[in-house]
Amino acid sequence: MFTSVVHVTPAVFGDYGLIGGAERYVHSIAKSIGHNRNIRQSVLGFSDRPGIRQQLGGIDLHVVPTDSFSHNRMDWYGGKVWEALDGHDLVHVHQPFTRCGEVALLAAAQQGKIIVATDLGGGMPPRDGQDHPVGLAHRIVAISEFSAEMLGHLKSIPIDVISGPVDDAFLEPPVIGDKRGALFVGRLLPHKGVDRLIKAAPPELDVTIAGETHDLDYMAHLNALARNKRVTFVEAPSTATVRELYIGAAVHVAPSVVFDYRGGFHPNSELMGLTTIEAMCCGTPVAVANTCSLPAMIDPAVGEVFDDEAALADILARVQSGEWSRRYAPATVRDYALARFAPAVVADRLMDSYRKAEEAAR
Amino acid sequence: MRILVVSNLYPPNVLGGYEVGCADVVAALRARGHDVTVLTSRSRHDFTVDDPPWIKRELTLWDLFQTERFGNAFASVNAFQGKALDPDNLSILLHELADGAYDVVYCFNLLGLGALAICDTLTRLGAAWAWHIMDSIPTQVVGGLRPEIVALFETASRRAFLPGRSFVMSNRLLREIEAGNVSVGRLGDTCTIVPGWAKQPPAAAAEPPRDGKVRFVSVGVLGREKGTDLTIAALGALPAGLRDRIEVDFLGRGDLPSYQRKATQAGVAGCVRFHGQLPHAEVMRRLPSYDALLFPTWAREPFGFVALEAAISGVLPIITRGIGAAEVLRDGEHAIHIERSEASLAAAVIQVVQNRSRCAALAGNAKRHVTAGYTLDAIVDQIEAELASIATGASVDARTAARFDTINRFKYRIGRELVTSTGLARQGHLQEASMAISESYTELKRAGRAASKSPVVKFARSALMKLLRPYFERLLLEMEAQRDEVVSLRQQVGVKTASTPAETPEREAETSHTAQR
Repeated sequence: MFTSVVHVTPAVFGDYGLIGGAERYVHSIAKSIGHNRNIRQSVLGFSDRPGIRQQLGGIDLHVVPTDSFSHNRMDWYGGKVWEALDGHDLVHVHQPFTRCGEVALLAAAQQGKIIVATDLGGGMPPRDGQDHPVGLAHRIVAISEFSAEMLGHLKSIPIDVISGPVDDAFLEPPVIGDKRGALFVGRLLPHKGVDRLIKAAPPELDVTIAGETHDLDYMAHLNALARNKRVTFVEAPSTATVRELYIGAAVHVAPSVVFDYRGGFHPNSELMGLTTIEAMCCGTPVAVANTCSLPAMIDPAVGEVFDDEAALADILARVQSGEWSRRYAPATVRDYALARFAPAVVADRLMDSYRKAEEAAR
Repeated sequence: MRILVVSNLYPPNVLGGYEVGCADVVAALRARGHDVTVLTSRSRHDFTVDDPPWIKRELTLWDLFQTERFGNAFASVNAFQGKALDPDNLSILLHELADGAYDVVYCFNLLGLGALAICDTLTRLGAAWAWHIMDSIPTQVVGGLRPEIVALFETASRRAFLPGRSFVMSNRLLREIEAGNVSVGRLGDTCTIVPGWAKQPPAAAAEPPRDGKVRFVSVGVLGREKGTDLTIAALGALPAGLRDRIEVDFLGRGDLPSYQRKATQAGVAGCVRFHGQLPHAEVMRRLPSYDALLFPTWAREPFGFVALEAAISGVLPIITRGIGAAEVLRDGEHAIHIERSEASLAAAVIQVVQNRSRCAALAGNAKRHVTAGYTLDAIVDQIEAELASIATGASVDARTAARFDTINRFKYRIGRELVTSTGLARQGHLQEASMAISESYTELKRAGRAASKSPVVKFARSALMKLLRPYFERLLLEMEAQRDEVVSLRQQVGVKTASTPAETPEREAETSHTAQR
């Protein structure tokens, strides 16, 4: 029976790495497994700084120097990966379609480890018929049905779909008062489709956009669209602020796109939609674009799927009129989310997947 | 024991002492009844080798020396495949292990075969393997590779090679390897010093001429590293009268005319003779006819077999202080150690000429010392015992072999992308094409065909087209596939596109052209 798991990711979550969905997911996964289980865990990432080892939220963060200085940070990896895998029975490779992920898969396979892989973006899965080191994994954990479909041609490797977990910060029962306006939480990048939200919003609707700016041109575009509308930008909000925003919003909108406003192509722009899950855990109904993984995350009791800006405009008009809030009960939304995405639930399913991987590795 | 020997070269394909040493040991082990198979590279030369079935010349040797001849375009590709990974070589090794039921794998020089992957794989397979290290190969295979290449290999990343036993020729060599921050095991534990050896000289040894002259010999490739220039300079520094009392024979290949000129310029042409390369047996037959060996080789000489061969032939070795052989042949007991300078070598020559009886006594000591402990038989006793102590099996099942084969083919794909300086496959193909042209030209010359310009150019052009065509075809197909995918997705999500190339007559013509191909 495996007793130790190392999660390998190009960049760890937090000060020494990146603060993105993939990095946060890895940390959340590790934390969820850590609850009430005697599994030793480590999260391994790469950095251009000297090696760092520290505890973050009860998880051993191991940041080792990269030997690759590609302009794409997802391609960073280093020879220290070999030592870092020592003493671990199971290697969970996150972002296997990055160079970092490929090398981690090869190192783990060479060392005879149990291997589980999860696509969190950062690179494109191989096309049907193309060989890839992910074929060395014993099991794949897909974070959504959409992600599983993208890997469906890897027929020899069983795939488990496990979405979530939501971070502990969003588990505490919310004190729900007046829920108003529309909210977007996420990185401000073109593929997030925030421009669609602003364009579709009625002028009198309060719209809050919370997240980090990663693209100044896009930010300028959003500011231009927001003129004469009631749009508030909250730059780099803390987790506590994000929670308050979720609780206070009538709807959380996930307007992600495959083709952004510049024509940029993002075939896997939403592999899971973590903020949608977080919003639901805070009792906030959701409106999600018919993009990638998003439709499969919800059901009619907790929100709606929209195909285009017109449909989103219709939803937002109902939000403005109050009809939306009368239809979706916060408690129902929260119960739906917790039953699927609570850390304990996700951890149970993940441990089951790990055990099956162990059997396959024998 | 059933032993699989892996060596980059094997006689008659020889560059230096490493592969000759390998052949010595193999012959001795086979003579003792062990079932030894040799896995080595194909011949680099024109001769046809009629091998027994236990010599398998199936591997590809990557000539790292092409780096100097062709510059960076080849350096990275050759260095990667020669030092790090050749997937076909590894595949051949894995098949041999799967089929052979070997007790132990015994590696010699792995440079040029994809050494890192071989070491990684043998270690991680848990195969019983030993590595006979006669030069600083471990540091050489790690050195010169980009860090992101090194990171693909476990032993290189850890800077620790972990054979069941490493046989290192001298403490000096071990220090050199460790100074390169590479470990080959703990001395006295998994690492053992296995010095060089000497075979008994033939019974019908050459007799020295009775002219009263003191006869010196230098054996080995002519060159600065081995001390040929230094020897000529030292002879030139001798008093003129003393030069008349000595003779110096150089037995070895190299630029003979150049050294003949240097000897003339130094005023020593009358006492030196250059014989060129002689068969090893002939060298051994002639050795007893000399009084002393001049071996002012570079200080990093890992061992120097010739010093022991001289000693066992009753010839006093004059050797550079600190070389590997100096650990066996002690100064003033079995040899004269010199600083690597003209003055020091000249002083040693004078000492031999002026005190022949003492030098003869030293030579006698050296002969007894080597005969007692450093014959091939004695060293093979040690090797045999060490191999037996680790020979727990080196078999691999077909599934595991396939897995390691897969791992290494993926590593190769990544490595090839990395070594082509921009990471573009295009560059790799161009390099391959250039290399193919170069090799084709060499092949033509080798085949003895008229190396006139037109067939060479024709052959080169054909090779270039052959190599480039698949690349361009693949590139075109990938571009088309991606374009089709994007167009299809745009249509699915209802994004209006400008008229796509698919809708233009040019595009139709292009598609039709591709289909025809």
